[in-house]
Amino acid sequence: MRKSWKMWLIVLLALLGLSTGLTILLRLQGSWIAGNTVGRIGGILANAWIIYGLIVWRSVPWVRRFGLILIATAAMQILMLICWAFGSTDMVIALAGVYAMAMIFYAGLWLIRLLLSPSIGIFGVARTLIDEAIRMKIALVFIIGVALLIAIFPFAIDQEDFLKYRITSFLTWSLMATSGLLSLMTIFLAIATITREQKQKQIYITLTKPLHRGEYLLGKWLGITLLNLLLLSVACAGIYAFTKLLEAQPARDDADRLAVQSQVLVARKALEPIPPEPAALQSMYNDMLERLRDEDPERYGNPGDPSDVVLPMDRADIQQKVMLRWFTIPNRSSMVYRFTGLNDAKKYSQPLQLRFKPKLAGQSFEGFCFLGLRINGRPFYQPGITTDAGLLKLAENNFHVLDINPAVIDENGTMDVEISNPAIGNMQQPALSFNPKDGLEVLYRVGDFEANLIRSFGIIWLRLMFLAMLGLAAGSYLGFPVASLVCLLIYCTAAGNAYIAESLKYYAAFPSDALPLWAKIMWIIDKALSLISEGEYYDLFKMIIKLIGSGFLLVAPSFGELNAAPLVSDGRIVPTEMLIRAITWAGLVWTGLTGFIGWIIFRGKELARVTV
Amino acid sequence: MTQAPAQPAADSIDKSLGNTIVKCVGLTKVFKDFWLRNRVKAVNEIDLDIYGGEVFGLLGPNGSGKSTTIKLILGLLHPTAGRIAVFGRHPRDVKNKQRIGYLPEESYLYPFLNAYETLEYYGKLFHQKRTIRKGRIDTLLEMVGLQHVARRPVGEYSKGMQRKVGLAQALINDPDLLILDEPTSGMDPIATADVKRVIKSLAERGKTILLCSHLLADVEDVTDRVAIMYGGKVRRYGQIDELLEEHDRTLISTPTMTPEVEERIIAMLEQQGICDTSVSRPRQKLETFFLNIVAEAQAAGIATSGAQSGGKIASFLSGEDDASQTEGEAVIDQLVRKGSAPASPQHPSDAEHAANETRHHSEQVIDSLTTSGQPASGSKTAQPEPEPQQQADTSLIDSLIQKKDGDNKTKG
Repeated sequence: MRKSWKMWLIVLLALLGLSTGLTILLRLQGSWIAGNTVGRIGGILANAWIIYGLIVWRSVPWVRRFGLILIATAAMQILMLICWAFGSTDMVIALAGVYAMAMIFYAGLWLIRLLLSPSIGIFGVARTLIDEAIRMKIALVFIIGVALLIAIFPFAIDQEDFLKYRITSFLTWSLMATSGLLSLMTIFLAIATITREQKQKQIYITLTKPLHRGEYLLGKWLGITLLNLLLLSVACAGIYAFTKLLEAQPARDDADRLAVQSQVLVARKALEPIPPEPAALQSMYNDMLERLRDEDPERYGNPGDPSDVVLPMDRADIQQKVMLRWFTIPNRSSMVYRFTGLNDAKKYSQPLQLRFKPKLAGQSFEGFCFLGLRINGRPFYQPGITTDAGLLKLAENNFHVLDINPAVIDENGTMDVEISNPAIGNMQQPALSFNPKDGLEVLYRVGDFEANLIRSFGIIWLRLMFLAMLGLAAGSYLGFPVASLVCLLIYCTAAGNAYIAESLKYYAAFPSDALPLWAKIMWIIDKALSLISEGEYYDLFKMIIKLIGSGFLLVAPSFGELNAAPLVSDGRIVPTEMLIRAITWAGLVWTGLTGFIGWIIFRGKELARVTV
Repeated sequence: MTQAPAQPAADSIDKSLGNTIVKCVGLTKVFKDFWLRNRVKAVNEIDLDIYGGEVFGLLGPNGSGKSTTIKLILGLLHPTAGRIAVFGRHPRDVKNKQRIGYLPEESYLYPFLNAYETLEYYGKLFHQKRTIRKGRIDTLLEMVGLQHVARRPVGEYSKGMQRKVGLAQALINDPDLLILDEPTSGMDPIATADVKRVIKSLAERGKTILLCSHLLADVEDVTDRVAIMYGGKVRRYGQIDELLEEHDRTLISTPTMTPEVEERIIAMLEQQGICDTSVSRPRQKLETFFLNIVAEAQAAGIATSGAQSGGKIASFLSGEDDASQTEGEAVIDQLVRKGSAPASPQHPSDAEHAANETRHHSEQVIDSLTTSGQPASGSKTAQPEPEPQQQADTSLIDSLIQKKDGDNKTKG
């Protein structure tokens, strides 16, 4: 028997097959007791045989691995039993989640190694990179970090808070932590692997084998990308498991429980009201500009001089004010906001939610505001918030979600929402307004939370693909510290692109976007010369900074439009357009372009060059 | 050393190069500083031809440009001036790499991989099928004596063990051109002897070997031609036998003689007009002595930790058995071997081969001595085998002259 572990395996399978077969046969014949007895004896013998095999054949790699898994499973079960005995059911679930994450990691790693086993150079490089990441503990630190954070978050959130907000917070923080940590890991791993191989000269041997330099880079990228896929799968499983753990916790009340199901663990589509016609908007713009010019002709230009144009930043400001005005309802008046494209919601009877955040332009009534609401002509009523006068009494400057029956949607899939700002007895309620961006919207269910979570991880993965290639491209030419700084700068710019652009917009004067390029250049030169002649060197400095910043933003990618985490935590669907945009830009264009630049640099590089 | 034709894939080689595997013309490499100013001329207009089937030694002190030359040949550096062709192609052509094995001056292995994984990785880069790769890895590990520690991370190995893994990776593709940069550095004498045997075995199969080493004795033992570099230039270049032969001296080796016999011989030589003669006891090489001691210990079954001497050359390298060898390759290989005089099917040991050669040459020497009275020139050198001490009487010189028996070995 000691001659071959294969014989051990055959005997084990035979034992299992025989005992199972006999058990089923006896049970089918009605001999339940005999069947169970045979089954138990077979189980004991099989277990004894497994233990015997694990001891005797522990030198065989797969037997050793199998044995380790069994030991880990047994240890985890014992630990869970202890926790259960002490009444800590949360800890039991948390341990189960951690165990599931570890098993997914182990199985995924095995699967990736199997996938990369064919004799292809790129696969060889990729597999070696994964071994490097795991064994040199670069990835391991991040894996443990992500696993611990995901496991700790549910317990770190205020247990007294609404369940809805606890789950939202958990999803927000865990997705952010996963994305952030893996982004940093990807950058450092990509740079470290390529710079270290050049410094420690392993690359001398690798690239004197029949492997193109492009294949080498591609192999490294493939390895990091697969490793990221594995880690994201683990994180996704962990987040899902702990979300379910949180969901099982007691809610504040039924409304809280319902909110979890209908507003968080769901994928909803959001619709904004149809804006006014462009002509109407232009008219509103002109009216507002005229008023502003009367008030401040220095800033907004002379009304009598048509060539005296409004500065771009002021124009954008006016446009925002126009939209805000459209979302503002003066006292004793009402506005109708139309929502279209709700055919699917009506067809599938998906409950609608009207989400809004009312703001008053002045003093509120002890933190509350009143408004009238009619949906397609029908007055809206909800116990608890509807007053005797048929008005809604709501906390001011807070988001409110009202459930609306989809039956009110008309045949064209349109819903008119009429909001009125009423008079409250003798009191004048100040003007009521909503934030033009997300202050008033209608949401309805279009998918499940699970699919949404996977989509969001898909987008994170595509972003990591780009970061991996960026790290490799930088590391192929620069040393570790410089490449790290460059990549972190680009990553931070990409992550905060929208904020930086917004800051730069108001930082210094700049030509209008509407101007052609040459006109912009001339404008900048003129402005710079005038600033020099006026001795306004600080403004000149600011303009130069803005010029450099704008140029950098133009080149650097933007992750702002590829951030799915807020959508998932808010129960909104990660739109297909975002996924396509991520595939196109992050997966193909940015990665491809960065990879191409990296390859161009790397293919001509003298690997054994020394600078003296 | 066998001058065998190039390997089968040579049909793609530029015909104008003939049997030249590596050709360097006016090769120059200048290293620059950060400001791109010329700082060091590491290689200075060297011309070099390395032919198929030869063992070529590149010698020189530190900083003489040997490693730079190798890196230029491998495409790891770009020449500042001059041209290089390897197998008739640009040195960075990936097709070349399929036929090259390279062992750098240090092993440069991945410390997190074990020996088996290391060889598997490099085998994959050659697109070797799994079965072939596995077979080669097993035989190579056995050859370098690391099969029992194959699952230990390479980072835990001693320098010598790492060199062995490095050597194994250089041989995994059964290369046509093997480039070895200080192959025996950090290795013990047993492993050094093994490396030399591998080199000789590959050379017998018509492989080309470029050897770069500080250990001149090792180079001398295995190379056909050498180039001695200093200051980035090739100072001497040619057949090792021609370069090392002392044309004004003759060495005769015999079993131990009595002082009377020695005197008679000296007198006889003086009669022939050959003065400035000395007689001394030959010494065996320390390497031979050491290897014998270790062989005795191994025969006695004394255990050791760390690497063991594999001894046996991997079958796919010796050409005995190679699963990857196609039928066509096998036929060509046989043809190559037929053209290689020393590569008889039995592969007589080096000592036996040397003894036969020496016997032949000692006959020539004694012939010259007794007939023309002039010393024979061009005697081939060989290593002395340890001989049991024999007492010779006065009749020995007579029997030598009469029988012209060639039991002796000469040392150059």
